Amino acid sequence: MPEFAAVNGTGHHEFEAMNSSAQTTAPDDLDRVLHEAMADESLELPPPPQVVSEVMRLTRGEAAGNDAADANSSELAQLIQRDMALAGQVMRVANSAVYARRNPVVTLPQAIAWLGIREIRNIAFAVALKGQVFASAYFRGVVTDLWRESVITALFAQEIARLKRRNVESAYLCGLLHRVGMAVILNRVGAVVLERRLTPDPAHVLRLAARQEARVGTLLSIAWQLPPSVSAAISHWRDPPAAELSRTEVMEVALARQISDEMRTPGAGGELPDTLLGPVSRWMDELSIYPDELFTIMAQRAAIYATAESFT
Amino acid sequence: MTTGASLAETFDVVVIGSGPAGQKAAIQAAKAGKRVAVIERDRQVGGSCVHTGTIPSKSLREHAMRQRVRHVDLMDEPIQSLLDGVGNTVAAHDAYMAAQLERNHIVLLRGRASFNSANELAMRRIDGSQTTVRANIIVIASGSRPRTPPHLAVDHANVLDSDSILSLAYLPRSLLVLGGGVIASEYAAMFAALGCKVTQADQHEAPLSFLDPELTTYYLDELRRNGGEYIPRADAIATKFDGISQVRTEFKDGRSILSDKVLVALGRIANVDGLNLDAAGIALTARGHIQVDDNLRTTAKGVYAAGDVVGPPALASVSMEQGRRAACHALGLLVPSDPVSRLPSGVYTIPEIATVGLDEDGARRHFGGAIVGRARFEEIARGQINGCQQGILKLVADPGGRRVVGVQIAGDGATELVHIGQLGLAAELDVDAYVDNVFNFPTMAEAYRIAALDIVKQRGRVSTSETVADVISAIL
Repeated sequence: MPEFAAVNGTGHHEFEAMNSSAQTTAPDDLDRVLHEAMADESLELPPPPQVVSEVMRLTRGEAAGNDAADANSSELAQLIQRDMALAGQVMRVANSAVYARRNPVVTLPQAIAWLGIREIRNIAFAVALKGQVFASAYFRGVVTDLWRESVITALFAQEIARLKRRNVESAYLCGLLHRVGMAVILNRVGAVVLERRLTPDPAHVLRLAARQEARVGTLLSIAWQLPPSVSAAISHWRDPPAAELSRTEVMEVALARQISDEMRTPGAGGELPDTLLGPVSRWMDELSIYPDELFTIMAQRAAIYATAESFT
Repeated sequence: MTTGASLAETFDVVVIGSGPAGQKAAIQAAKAGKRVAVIERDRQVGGSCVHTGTIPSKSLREHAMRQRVRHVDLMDEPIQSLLDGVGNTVAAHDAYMAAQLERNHIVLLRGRASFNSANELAMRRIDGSQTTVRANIIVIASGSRPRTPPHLAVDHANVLDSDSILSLAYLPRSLLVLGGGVIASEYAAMFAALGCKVTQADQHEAPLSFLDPELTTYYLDELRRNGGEYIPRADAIATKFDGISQVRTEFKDGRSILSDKVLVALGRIANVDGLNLDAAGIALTARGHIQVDDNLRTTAKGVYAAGDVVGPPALASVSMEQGRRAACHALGLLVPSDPVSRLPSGVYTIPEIATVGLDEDGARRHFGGAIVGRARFEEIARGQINGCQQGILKLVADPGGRRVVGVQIAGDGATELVHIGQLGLAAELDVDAYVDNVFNFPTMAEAYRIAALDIVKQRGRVSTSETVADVISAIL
């Protein structure tokens, strides 16, 4: 599986354009700067998204009855209304192909009722993550691809979990955050690059970042008090058997990535790619997912890609 | 897709499934010198017992038991952290069972089996390739999975089954458990003890309705002590995520209940899909289990079935015995005359419940009467020391108060304690033997002597030996 399939896509073109007009910074100087930027003390981990905490508070099981639930729903609509990015995203998802309905959703309360709170929480988390973590002025293309790859992985991981009769929420979170370390690094390094007017070799940056992403992702996971399964996915998605905890969740992420890598073109084909079945994917083997079951998961790819599009 | 076929392999015995029933059937056959293969669809051996059922749930129960002592707020605690060590337990068990199969020269084939005929199976591997496996004796031990009635929308996110509940990200604040059977009651007890607000609802008047009601009282008392409740005569007709934060479950009588999560535990269904049973002429019961006779023979010659796939009681211990008995009968080996009636049942609620032999009601029906001796855990020194004062041991004897015909226990350690009674039944010990034999002090085993003395007292102090008379006079 190519490690940087996504980040070598759009992002690479962006780098090429940048590098054509400037000379690449000497590797030794750059390494020093990058290492400094990736060090624990200079990382400046983003705080847990505020809007998510608020949404979580309003959507927790505190609503003891209908009245409380209605009050929370109204407060939630107000909260979303105050956050333009979130409001826009909620409306966009509600009117996306996945939730296709005869008449478009025109108001936020209507969208909240239509999507349901679980979806709203997912959207709030995704928007906040995208705005605060998966954002880099310098590495915009790379990070956009990284984000899309994470959303698709999360959605496929969720379907794999459902098929295996496992809880889907944990799988979604693991998929969404498994590369959060890379996003944090690119965010930070991008800021340093712009500040010091450096012109790094993109491949070199990505190689360095790849060595640090598990460490940085784990730091973020601890700071945000995310479940242990997320830390495991961050640390071990490239090598699930190495995970001591939550190995199944990590394998779900690994297989989800493999499926999304193989099925990069939405709606294309319908046959199972040889790379998945001959020889059989190691993760299919580990999770005991038979070819017909893989078909069931892949049958949902159009909906998954449509959801991912509405998230990006 | 890669498809390939290899030459047919022939064995003396082929077992479908490597859970408790399959494993014991295979080992029994191998020990009889037969060439045996086990076909397992999953990478790990052990079936749902090891990976999604018995072992993980008991690990969660252990945490719940510790919680009774610590009283820590576990809300928002990742479930994974409550299942501490379960991965290692499962891995160790998996490795042990794999080694046991290997040690007995049992061939483990990975794939999904379907019948071509009563003595031939097609096996499709995970890579899509196929092979044929033949044997004159085939044992079906393919297990079961949670039943999800179509009107209850199990999505594994908000509405869960007994598989997906163990992979919840966090402990929910409230949980509605639909069902009154063993699995439903075990999870209701565990989550209530962990601090979750549990409501258990079922059509029956009381949970665990197949047990002596005196025992289930202890379960219900503890559930209520932990803030839970049981709603009888409740027939769920729909579950719907309310679009806010909770699942609304509607019942036939018009009531509805809101909860963070819902556990649907309304029984299990046999894993017979894809086995192509018609090709072998294997019949199913009206409830979809494989139909077997007393010797676990199906309607097809040479084909046996054991474990969950043949229906209740669907306990791992019973499945193991069924697997062993199926193999013994198939190979013409001596089958123990009637051990099934002496198989113990263990329910891992809080507190545990365990039974062997006849209960009070069964004895009255069978013998036209019964004498029941009771020992309450609050009377036992070890119970006082352990803080296990809520419990009872009932020794059930025939109307003459001589022959012990059953033991019923509710209380911590019941699933271990019942084995004394089980061996007593097997050895046909009479009531006085429980008085004559000295148990360590202080132990919970003392309950047997107290219950036996209670029977002796009821039958009119007719002892069989001087020792008994001495003991009775000393205690009474």
